[in-house]
Amino acid sequence: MRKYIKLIQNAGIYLFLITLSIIVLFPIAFSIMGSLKPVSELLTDSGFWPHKVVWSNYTRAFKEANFLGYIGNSVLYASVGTVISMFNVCVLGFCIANQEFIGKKALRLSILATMFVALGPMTLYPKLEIMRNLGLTGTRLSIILGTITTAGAEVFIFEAYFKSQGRAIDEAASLDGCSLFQRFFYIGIPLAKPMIGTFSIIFFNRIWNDFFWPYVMTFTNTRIQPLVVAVIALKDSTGEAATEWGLLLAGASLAILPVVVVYVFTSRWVISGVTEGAVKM
Amino acid sequence: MRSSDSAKKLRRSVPAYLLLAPTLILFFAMGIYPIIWALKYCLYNYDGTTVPIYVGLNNFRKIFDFHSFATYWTSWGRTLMYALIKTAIEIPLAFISALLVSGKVRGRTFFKTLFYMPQILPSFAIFMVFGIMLNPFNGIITGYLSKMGVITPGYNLLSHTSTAFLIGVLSDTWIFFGLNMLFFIAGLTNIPKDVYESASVDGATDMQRLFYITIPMMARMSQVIIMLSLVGCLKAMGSYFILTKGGPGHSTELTFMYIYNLFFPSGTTAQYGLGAAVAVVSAVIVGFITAIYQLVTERMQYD
Repeated sequence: MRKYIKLIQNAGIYLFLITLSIIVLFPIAFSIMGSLKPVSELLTDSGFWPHKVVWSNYTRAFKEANFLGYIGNSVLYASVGTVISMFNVCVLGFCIANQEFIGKKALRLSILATMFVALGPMTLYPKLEIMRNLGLTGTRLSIILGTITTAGAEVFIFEAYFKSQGRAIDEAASLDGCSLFQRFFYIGIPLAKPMIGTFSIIFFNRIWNDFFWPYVMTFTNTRIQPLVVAVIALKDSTGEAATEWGLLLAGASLAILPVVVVYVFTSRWVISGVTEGAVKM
Repeated sequence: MRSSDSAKKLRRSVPAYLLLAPTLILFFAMGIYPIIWALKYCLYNYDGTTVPIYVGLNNFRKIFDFHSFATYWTSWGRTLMYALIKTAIEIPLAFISALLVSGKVRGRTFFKTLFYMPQILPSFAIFMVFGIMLNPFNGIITGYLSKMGVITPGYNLLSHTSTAFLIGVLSDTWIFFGLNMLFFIAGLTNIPKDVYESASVDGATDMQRLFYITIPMMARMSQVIIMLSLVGCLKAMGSYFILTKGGPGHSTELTFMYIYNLFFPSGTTAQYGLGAAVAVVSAVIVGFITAIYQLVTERMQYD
């Protein structure tokens, strides 16, 4: 009797987990399957598997819709943006943890303030005005400057990390006559390598997925759109016309698949990064 | 003596500021300046083209005239509804998933990794895929639902308020439940193992252990996770930006999307001054609720 209860219990557990897995995977799989269907099939059939696998949506995406350019933009924004974001949170964490300077408390407070003041999408507009005044509207630089992380919760995670490493090395180097720049670049950064690894993945992913800033900044110059924005802009311009679904699904798949592939190899670090944040919550 | 002290301190601050300079400039322009901008322009009439005119508290008077400004205040009602329904669906789902994948299930790392994945995908691309799956002509989900007799064939789920609202909630749950699952897992691994062991020695069943150990031990952590989820929802635009554009009418327009539409309207002129005032009022409301949450969680830690 007990054995049966155990068996039913186990069956229930796996049923739940497998059902949830299917729900998670289904939209991703649907996007890929749909992108391999000819347009005629997308318009008439509502099945999951393609009757006939075609690559025409992808050839159209690259030849007519300039998706290679959009992918290039996304890669550029995410890689340059990650380096700048990483430098920002690392240098702030390092200085707040180990250095004494006037206005440190005020700096800490203003970082906290920007985290808790929820102005939401309003902040897009003053940032856009700055770019306009600098004459940067329509440039790739403006997208990078607005999409990066300047300061945020990550600063405090880095601060805690640098604090946990102690000040001894830093002080010894300081006595040996190392300047602050040398200490940051030759001691601080190598010390934070494991953290930099984890957060680089997180920043890269965040910028790759970022939507609103690149969306409002590329109304006038669509050539500099990152991939996700280009797909949504294409959807907006075609309205409800189902004839472009093949192209849209190809674009969505191109935006989604690289993230999935990278995640397969890096999930351990990503998940540990999130959990570390959760423990400090 | 004092002045030389502070001069020394100032001299010692110089290298730090040199090292921080590029970051601080970016942080001021992209982080601090928008807040100052909002505090200034909430007192102005400003449409982006003509010269801004100082109007004092007029914008706020407009906002707190509840009748003529009803679209904004009803957006808060919707946002609260969204927060409550989403949390009510998401938290139990996340808790059950966390419980199962932190047990002795085979493939638990696989399931854990998979359930978190939606969180890192480009959500706007995913919402667009959802939109195609839900289209009334041959959407795969609409097809299944009409086969099961839940809806009539050709029913447009996204153009009816109640179904559109629910779909937005479910889409966002799809994105976020894995994150809350990880939070719960972090809490579950903090429960000391020997509590379970001594319960097993006393002959407690799985169910007894769940209800008498796990759930009571997780109560505080759960409160934090639930409130974090609720506060997060207040700032959400949800999937509605892609799926319904806030429609039909304004019926799926959450507060932050209402603010977005004041700044980037389609067709009408933007009202940046009024928009800034609305954003300030909204930030105060969110800040107030967040402060309550902080107070409650701090109280919980000292209990």
